[in-house]
Amino acid sequence: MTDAETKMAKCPVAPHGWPNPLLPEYDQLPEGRPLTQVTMPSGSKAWLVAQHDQIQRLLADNRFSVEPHPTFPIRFPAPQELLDMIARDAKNLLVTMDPPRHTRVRQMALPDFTIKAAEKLRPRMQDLIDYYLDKMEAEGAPADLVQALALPFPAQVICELAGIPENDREIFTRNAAIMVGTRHSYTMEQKLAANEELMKYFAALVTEKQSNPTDDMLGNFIARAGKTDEFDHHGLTLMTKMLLLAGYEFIVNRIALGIQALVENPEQLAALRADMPGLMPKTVDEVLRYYSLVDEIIARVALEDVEIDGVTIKAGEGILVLKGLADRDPAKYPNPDVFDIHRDSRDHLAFGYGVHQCLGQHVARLMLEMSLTSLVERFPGLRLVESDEPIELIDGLPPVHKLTIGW
Amino acid sequence: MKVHAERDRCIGAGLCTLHAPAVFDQEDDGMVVVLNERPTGTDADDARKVAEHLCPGKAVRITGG
Repeated sequence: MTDAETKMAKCPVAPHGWPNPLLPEYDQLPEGRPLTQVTMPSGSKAWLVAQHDQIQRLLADNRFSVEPHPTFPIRFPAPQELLDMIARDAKNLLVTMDPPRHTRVRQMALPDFTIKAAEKLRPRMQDLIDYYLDKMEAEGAPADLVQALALPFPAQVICELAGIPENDREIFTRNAAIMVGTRHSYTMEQKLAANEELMKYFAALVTEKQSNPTDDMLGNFIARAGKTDEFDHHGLTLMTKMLLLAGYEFIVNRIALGIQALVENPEQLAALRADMPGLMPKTVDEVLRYYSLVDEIIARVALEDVEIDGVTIKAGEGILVLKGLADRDPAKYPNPDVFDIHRDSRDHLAFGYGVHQCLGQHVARLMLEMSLTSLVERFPGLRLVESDEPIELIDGLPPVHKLTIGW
Repeated sequence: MKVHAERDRCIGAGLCTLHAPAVFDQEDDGMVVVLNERPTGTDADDARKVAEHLCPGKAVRITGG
């Protein structure tokens, strides 16, 4: 094994040197980013995929599986007990199911995640944004955008979407904030405790919605699932957790990072202000592309031999998709490290690709678009305020735990 | 050019509707429906972009020039 291979074998992990997207390990990828084989901590072989077009082809290829498999590329050495638990839970999660079951389960949730379903949330979302920004303004500058808007606004939207009763929302928001790592001070013990409290709460919520059906995203999902034998009660509880938490950290951080990118590029912010209807959709996609770099790795395992660009990925070998890096693939996006709201970034991989592409992307997109629009329109003097506290990413996750702004 | 969409491959991501709303719609169950099989101008460009890069289920196809 070469030195480079040894090093990468230890750590094909997400880049955490924010705002520099690349770990030294990523720098060791060969020029042009061809498929590069690495050895996982388990000893099995996997391929790093960092080219945008290769990722699109591989993630749309149903010869790759997301289901538990002895050689599935898990990038940390995990005790068997944990692997068993992951495999058990995986049976009940949309994100770790292959078609055809994946197709059936996704369709149970889909009607509440269409563009039209998301658009129905628009007036209520605006009320919420106005409420949080009124409060922020009344308390005076400077303010922490994360605490003022980016954290509470999506939490409230998710609670309302899911039909979580008002009195119970504190249980969701408090524990979700711990679990998704929006603050760097939480220990693993605190995260596990938060998970336990949420699972207990969701189990009760599922029971409640089974007895008294409600017309909301979660109520509808539980009702549709109830007509099939896809899930037992624990399975529904796990799906509830996935549906409610999957996009939470993502959107919290994109709101904060989007504002940061705009404020740090004043000429683009001015262009956006001059043509909000024309440039906001492009801005949203560019924020998603640019900060796709806060990378979680997507993994798959090959079910049979697959050839791509002259390389054979053998049955049982894994792929690790570096989508954050691919969204800065210079072959796809010229000057990829430049934030540019004029470019066409629509085919970014921030929401993944293939059958597992993010179910909640239209809700997420709307939350991001509306937050950015309101902040930019309402505060002509929007600026970042120097903070003593550095922005840091923990374990490759992108928690922007604080972003101090003035206006 | 002619636009084709296969419901069987559709995963309801809705990117066709988002990026080429004059050509595609997303039905209430999330599945794709083609509104205009023979778009022209920027609508045709957007439909081609959907077929080549955006549709994650590879459910959209373009035939003809």
